[in-house]
Amino acid sequence: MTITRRGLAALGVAALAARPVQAQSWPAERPIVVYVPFPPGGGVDQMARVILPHVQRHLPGATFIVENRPGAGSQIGMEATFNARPDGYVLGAVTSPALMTIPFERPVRYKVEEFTYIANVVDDPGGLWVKTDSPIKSLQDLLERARKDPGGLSFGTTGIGSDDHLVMLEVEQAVPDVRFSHVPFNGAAPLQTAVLGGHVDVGCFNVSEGGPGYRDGRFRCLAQAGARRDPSLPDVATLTEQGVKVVAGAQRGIVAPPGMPQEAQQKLVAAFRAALSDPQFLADAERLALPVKGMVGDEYRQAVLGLDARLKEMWARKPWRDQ
Amino acid sequence: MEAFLGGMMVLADPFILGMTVAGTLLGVFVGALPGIGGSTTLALLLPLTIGISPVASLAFMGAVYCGANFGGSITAILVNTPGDPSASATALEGYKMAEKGEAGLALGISAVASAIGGIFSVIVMIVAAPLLARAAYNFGPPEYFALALFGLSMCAAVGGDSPLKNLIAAAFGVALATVGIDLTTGVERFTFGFYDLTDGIGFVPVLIGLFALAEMFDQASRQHTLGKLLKLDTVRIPGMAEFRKCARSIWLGSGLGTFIGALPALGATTAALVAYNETRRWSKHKHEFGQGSIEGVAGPEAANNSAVGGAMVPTLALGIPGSSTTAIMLAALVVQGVRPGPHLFNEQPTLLYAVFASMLAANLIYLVLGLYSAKLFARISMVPPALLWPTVFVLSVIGAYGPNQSMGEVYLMLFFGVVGLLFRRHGFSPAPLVMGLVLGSLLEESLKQSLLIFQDGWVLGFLGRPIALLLIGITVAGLAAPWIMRLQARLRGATEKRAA
Repeated sequence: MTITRRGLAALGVAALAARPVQAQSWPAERPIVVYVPFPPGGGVDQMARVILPHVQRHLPGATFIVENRPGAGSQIGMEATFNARPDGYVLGAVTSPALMTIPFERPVRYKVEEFTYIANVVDDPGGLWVKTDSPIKSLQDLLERARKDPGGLSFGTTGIGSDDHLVMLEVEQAVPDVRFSHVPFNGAAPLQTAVLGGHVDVGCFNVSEGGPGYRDGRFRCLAQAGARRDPSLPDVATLTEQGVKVVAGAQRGIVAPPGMPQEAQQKLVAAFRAALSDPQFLADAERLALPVKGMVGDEYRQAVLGLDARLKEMWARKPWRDQ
Repeated sequence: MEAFLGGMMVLADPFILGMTVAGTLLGVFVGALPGIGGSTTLALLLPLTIGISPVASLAFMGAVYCGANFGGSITAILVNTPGDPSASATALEGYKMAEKGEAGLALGISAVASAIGGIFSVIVMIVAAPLLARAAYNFGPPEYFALALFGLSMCAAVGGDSPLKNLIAAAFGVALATVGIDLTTGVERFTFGFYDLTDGIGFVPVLIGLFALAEMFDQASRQHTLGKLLKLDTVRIPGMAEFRKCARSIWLGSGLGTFIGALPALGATTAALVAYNETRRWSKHKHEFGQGSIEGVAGPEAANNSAVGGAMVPTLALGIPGSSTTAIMLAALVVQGVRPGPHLFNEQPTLLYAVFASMLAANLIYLVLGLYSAKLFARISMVPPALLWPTVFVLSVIGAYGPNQSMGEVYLMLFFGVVGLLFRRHGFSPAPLVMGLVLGSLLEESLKQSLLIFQDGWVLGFLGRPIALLLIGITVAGLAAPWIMRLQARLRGATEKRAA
């Protein structure tokens, strides 16, 4: 067809008037799946379900879905996260020390250093709990008894290699001549019952797990393994305060597969940073007595690698499981 | 009293009543589907419950839980496929009844026994929750060991050709229970590097394989399936005579189920298996067991539903979940900001009574549903096998894959299907294997925990535990009873000969 001058002019006006077409892009194309490597109802699951709605508010266009992928103490879920496509639509929840200690025990299909670390949400210190009318009066009392009768006091935890077990090992290392008899249980629920029934002398489980029982007056807490006192347990002194230099617990956070696109990673980290300081989230966390310790991006990564190094050293010195 | 009435009034709210009805129906449906049971459904629905009020979500979840325990028995009876692990004991006698043409009877008594068990446990929960919760504290590792031993002790007598074969099957079950990471040492046993086995052999694939697939393979290999003489009894529902006969097993099942449910970590499945053993032990019609005993359906069904109420006791009174399903309910509550514990009874009695009311309602709903639809469901047993079994197979594969998206569990199910077929060919019964698998890990773990607690002084340790000693004593008495009675008979015979 013949190009008239009027035609060219019209084309020019049209070109100027046309707005650039907005293609659908991350994170709005489809829901972002977050693999939780434990069955629903546990601490990691709860952490994910509580923080994600707040992150969603700070990341326009994103929708998060939790998918539980339990098995092998969180190995299955973590491997699924690590080996997923790094397109920004898959994230995973992780907990330490399981993240670092499982590779010591068996071959795994992920590498701790290569995950993309997004944010840490919770840092739940371990605590030493006894039933209210227990003859053990204080931490010093416990340590004295353990010194006099090495291996005679039963120390319940939530499993071999769990954060609670590591608290016990670190205490035994920090205080000379102290030894306990380790009694593992299948989770915090049977352990708490065993402590309440007096079947084990002392139990180690996290502050968030023992808090409710403590407030109801069923447990006494001899010490907790945090860096400082917990606001929900203001009367409970830390191990460090009482002369035992041990800081240990469980950290729960969110990671992504290695090789995640930079832009998506930065946006996600920013959204988590905003969510972690969002007053609504903090109010939720307080209502649920979740011990929040927000760390994002590189800070989180350094913390994980630091803990990994320390655990590798502990394992090299005295492995807590036969290979 | 006001709180109680206030709780009951909660049912007048159409939304809550609607949630209870919906929950019950959903529960019965998923309970019937093989593989996907109450706990998987609650896990999937957890996010939905966050948006609604605590009372409504508890009512809904409690209704699903109750419904699923009943629903599992439908497929257990009709196609030998326990839809929920808690129905595995029901399948033993229930399916035999269906084969005899008594499906309607089995379904009907299952509905009634379940409802009675469920209501009994809710009443116990209302009256005695804090007391029962405290009694649960007395159970530590030695007591769990004694309980597991007690549970396994009747294995020799359950089904199959001979006590020896049953013991072999039970031993195989206990051996299977050792697969996976050991609790007390952290070592992986018998996993051969398969990730799917790290947590052990799951019971869902084993149950579906042993019961449903084995039956299917068996039927497939029978070229000449005679049209079974369909007695009119197929659609007969139980009458007063049957209820009177089952009264003892129902009460026994309800009591055992409530108690076992209240023990943390033991739930409906263990309750049903132990109740099956005890129902048989105390039955006046022992010879019927293995050929379709109606008491063998009533007892376990009463037990698995009363375990629901039982499991709610430590969950609500202590915040310690009584079973894996209640762990999910507990999580849903916590996310809503409701922290269960003794203070809940003082601070929010209306919430608690609302839960009780909805559970009572759920039990009544499935009772009515069950009785009315028993005739309808019973007709499924008349569907030609060529149509029925492929459908069951498809549902089974979905059910085995579904909970953990794991093909490994599907392969496991197929393997146990073959095992189940071999069992049938050689006169072994699957029941002792299931009991061994379910109770085996409890037995081993609690023994090792006890030894770790007592260290060298374990003999004295056990001697100092009255509950454990009592249970062990009953176990020994139960095992020795046949010999003692034979000895007594011989002595009596000898005395009579001397007198003559």
